[in-house]
Amino acid sequence: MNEKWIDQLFELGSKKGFSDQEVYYMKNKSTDISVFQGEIEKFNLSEDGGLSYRAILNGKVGYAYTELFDESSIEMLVNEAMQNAEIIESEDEIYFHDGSGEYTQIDNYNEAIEKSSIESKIAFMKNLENEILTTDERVKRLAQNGYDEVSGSRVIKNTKGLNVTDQYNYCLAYAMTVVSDGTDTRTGIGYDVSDDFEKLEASKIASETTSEALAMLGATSMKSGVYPVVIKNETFAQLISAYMGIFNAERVQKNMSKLKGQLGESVASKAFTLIDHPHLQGALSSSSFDAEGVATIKKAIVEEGKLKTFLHNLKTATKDGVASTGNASKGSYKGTIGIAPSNLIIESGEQSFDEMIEEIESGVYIISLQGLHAGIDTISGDFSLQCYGFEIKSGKLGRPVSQITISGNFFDLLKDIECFANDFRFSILSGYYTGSASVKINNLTISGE
Amino acid sequence: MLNKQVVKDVLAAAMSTGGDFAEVYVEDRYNNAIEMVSGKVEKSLSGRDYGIGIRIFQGLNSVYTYTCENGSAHLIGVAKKAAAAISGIPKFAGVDFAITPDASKHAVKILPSQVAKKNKIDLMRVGFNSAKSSSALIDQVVVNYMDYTQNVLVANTEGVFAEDQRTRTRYTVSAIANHDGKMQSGSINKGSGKGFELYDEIDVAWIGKESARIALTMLDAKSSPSGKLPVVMDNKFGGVIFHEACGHGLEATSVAKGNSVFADKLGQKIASDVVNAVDDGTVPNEWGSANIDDEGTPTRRNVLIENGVLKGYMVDRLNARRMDHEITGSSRRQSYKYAPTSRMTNTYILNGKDKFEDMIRSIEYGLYAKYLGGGSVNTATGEFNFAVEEAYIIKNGEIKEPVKGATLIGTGAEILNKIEMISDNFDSAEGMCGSVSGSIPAGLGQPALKVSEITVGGREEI
Repeated sequence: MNEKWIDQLFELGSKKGFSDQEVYYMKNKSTDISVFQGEIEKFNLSEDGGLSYRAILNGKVGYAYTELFDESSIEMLVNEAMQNAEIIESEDEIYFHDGSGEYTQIDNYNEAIEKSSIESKIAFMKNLENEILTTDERVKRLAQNGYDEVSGSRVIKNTKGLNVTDQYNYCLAYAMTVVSDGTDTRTGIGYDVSDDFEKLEASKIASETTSEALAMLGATSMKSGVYPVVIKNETFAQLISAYMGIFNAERVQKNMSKLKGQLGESVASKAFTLIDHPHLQGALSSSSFDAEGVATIKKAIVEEGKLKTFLHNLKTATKDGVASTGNASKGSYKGTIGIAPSNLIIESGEQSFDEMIEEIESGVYIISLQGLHAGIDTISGDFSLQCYGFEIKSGKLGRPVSQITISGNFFDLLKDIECFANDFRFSILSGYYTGSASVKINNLTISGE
Repeated sequence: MLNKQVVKDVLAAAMSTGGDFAEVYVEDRYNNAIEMVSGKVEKSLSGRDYGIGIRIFQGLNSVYTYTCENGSAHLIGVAKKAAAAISGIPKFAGVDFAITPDASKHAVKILPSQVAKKNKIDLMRVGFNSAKSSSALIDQVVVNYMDYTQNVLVANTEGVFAEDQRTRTRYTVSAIANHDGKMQSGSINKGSGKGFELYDEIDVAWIGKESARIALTMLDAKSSPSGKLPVVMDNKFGGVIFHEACGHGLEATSVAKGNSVFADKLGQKIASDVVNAVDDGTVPNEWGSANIDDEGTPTRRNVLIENGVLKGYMVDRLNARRMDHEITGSSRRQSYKYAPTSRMTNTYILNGKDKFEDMIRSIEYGLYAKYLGGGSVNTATGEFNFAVEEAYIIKNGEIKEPVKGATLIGTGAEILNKIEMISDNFDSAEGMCGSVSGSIPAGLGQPALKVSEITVGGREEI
C-alpha cells in the first residue's frame, strides 16, 4: 500500500471539506488447480486489490472505490464520495473508529502454504482423482474438483488515528463425484480445508465424496407427512447461516426481523446455543478487528435458547445505545459497511449420532438441502427446500429418499430443536463459516408423493 | 482500451511456451448503486472496476490469470508467468487482427452515468410512495437502483479484436407487510440493457404498488398444500422453470464431460411436442443481450428445442474442442476475474396456441403460480427446485385463495415431458444467474404453461 498516495487522497479530501476520511484496502492472491483424467485441466493464478474510500460531510458518509491507483483515481474517489454523501437523507449518526480498544492477536497466516511447490499441489489433485475413481466401479467421474489456495491482507486507516492491518491464508481441496449404477445417477461432495497444505487429506475427501453418493443410489420419493427429522451437521450449519440476517441489528431496527423486541427472551429451545467466535485458530473468518477497525469479541448470540444480543456495527450500536459487537462487515472493497457474523459455532450435545438415530421410530435423516438462496424467506421465516437423505426406521437408517421437500418456519424450528449430537463440523458451503453437530427436530413437514 | 501492439505483444508472450490459443480480455466498468430505506436515501455507492484477463489453451488444458495493472511490461510479465504452466514447442507466428465484429446493435439513448443522481432518487421516491401508500399495513419499503456501463475488449490469436459496451440498469422495490405478529415481503424488479430511457417506458409506480400487493396478499395466505399437483406457471419469471430444469443442462459446462442428463441427446425427443425453446443473445437491449459474447464471438439466436426435439447446446471455445460442436456466441463471465464459459443469455420458451383461461379451466385441483422466485439445479442428476413467490389454489377450474411457502421440485427429463399446454401470452423477465464464471444478468421468459404434475413442497396435506 502506497502511503504517499493515501496522504494525497486525504489531503484532497480535507481540502474539499470532508471532516473524516477512511480507506479500506484489500489485496488477494489465489491459485486454483483442477484436473481431469490425469491431466491438469485448469490452472488459474490471480492477484488483485482494491480500495474503498469513505468520508464524512456534514454527518453524512459517502463511498467510492477503485482498482486503479493513479492520480486520476484520487480525484475520482473524492468527487464521487462527495456526490454520494450529498444525496444521503438518512439521519443515522455515522462516525469512524479511533483505534481504541483491546485487540486480540490472531495468527492467521502460515507461510508454509505458499512454500509448498505447485508440483506437489498438482500431484495431490491427480492422486485425489485417482483415489476417487478407483473407490468403486460405480464411480463414473468427477463433475468438479479443485485445489484452491487463497491469501489476503487488509489495511484500514483513517484520519481519526485508526491504522490496523492483518493477513490470512488457507487452502482447500474439494471434489464432486458422479456415481451411477446404470439406472440411477447421484452426486456427492467431499472437501478438506486447512491452514497447512501438508494436512489436507485426499483419502478423507475421496471417502466423503463417494460414500454418500453411492448410498443414495436408487433413492426415490416418500410419502408426504410430518416426521421427526435429523439434519446432518454441516447441512444444519448452512441453514443457520442462511438465516443469520434475523440477528442483524440493522434489519431489526428497520422492522425487517421478527426478533425485534425479543432481547433476553426465549427464542429457541434450551438445546440451542449460538456463538460468534472471531478468535478461533484455523477458522476461515477469524480476525482481531472488524470492517470498521473495531476490536472483535467472542460472544453468545443465543444462549440456551435466550436471545443475548444482536450483531452490531458502530452505527446500529449508537442507535441502540450499546457498544459495537465488532461485527461491521464489508463483502469486498466494493461494498458499503454492513453487519455480519465471524465464525459461528452451534454448541454440540452429548449423544453420538447413532444414539440420536436409535431413539427415532419413524423419521427422516436429511443430508443435503438445495436452493437455500431461493427457498427461504428471512422475513416470515417460512422455508420449503428440496432435500435428500435417508428414511429412519426403528432406530436405524433405511432406504435413500430424494425428490422431497422439507418445509416449516425457522422461528418455530428453533423452538422445536430436541437435541444436538456430538459430531461437530464446520461447513465450507455455508454463506458464513458455520459449524454445527447433527440436530434432531421434533416435527417438520416432508412433501413427496 | 489497450493499443493493438500491446495486445499483440501480450498474446505473443502467452504463446511463448507452446500454447495453441491465447486471448486477452480487458474490462473497464463504472458502477452506481443507490439504496432508499423508509423513503430516505441510505446508501449511495460508485466505483470503477478495471482489469485484464489472459487465457491460454493447449489442447484441452487452459490457464487463466488476471491483473489490474495495464503497463505493457507488467502485462507481458503476467502472460509469461501464466505461460510457464504450459510446456511445448512454440509455433506462434504472430496475428493480424482481421475480425472486428459489429458493436452497434444495442446502443442506448441516455447513458445512466450522464444522468444526475437526483433524477434517479426522484424515480426511487415514486416507487417508495406508491408502495407505502398502498396500505397502513406496509411497514417497510426498500427501493434499490443500480446502473453500470461495462466496456470490454476481447482479442485473440485467431485474429479477433472485438470491442463492446454493455449498459444495464435495474430498479427494485421490496415491501414488507406486518400485521398481528405476521410478516410477509413482496418484491418486484425490472432490469434492462437499455439506458435511462427505460424509465420513460415503464411505470415505476406500478412496481411499488405490485410489490406491496404481493406482501399484503401473502400476509393472509395459508400454507401451500404439499404433494404432486398440476401447476400453471405464469409468464415472465415463470421462465425460471426452463432455466433450471433444462437450460443449465444444455450448457457445455456440464454437457462436454457428460455431466448432464441431456448429454448425447441431440436430435432426440426430450420434451413434449408443444415445447419450443431458444437462447437468444441478440434481442435488442435485452437484459442478457450483447453484441459479442465474452470471447469476442457475435451473439446469435440458438434454437435449443424444436417441437420437443433437442436441437443444440450452448458451447464456448474450450468445450467446443471437447464436444466437436460449433461455438454459439454465448460464452460469458461476471468480470475479468473469471475465465468465460458457456452460459445462458436470454432463454425463452416460445408462444404456444393454448389460452390461459383454458389451462385454468382444465384443472380440478391444482396450483396457479403467478410469480416465481429463484432456484437451482444439479445438472448431473437433473434434479431442480425453485421457489414460488405468489400462488393460488385452483379448484374446479377457477383460481381461488392465495397460498404461501411453496417450492416446486422435479427432474428436468421428467418435467419437460409433462408440459401439457402452452399459452400465447409470452413475456420476459430479468434475473441474476450464478455459476462457474460468476454472477451474470440472464434474461428469461415464457408464456403461461401447464405442467400436468409436479411435486409441490408445502406444509398442508391436500
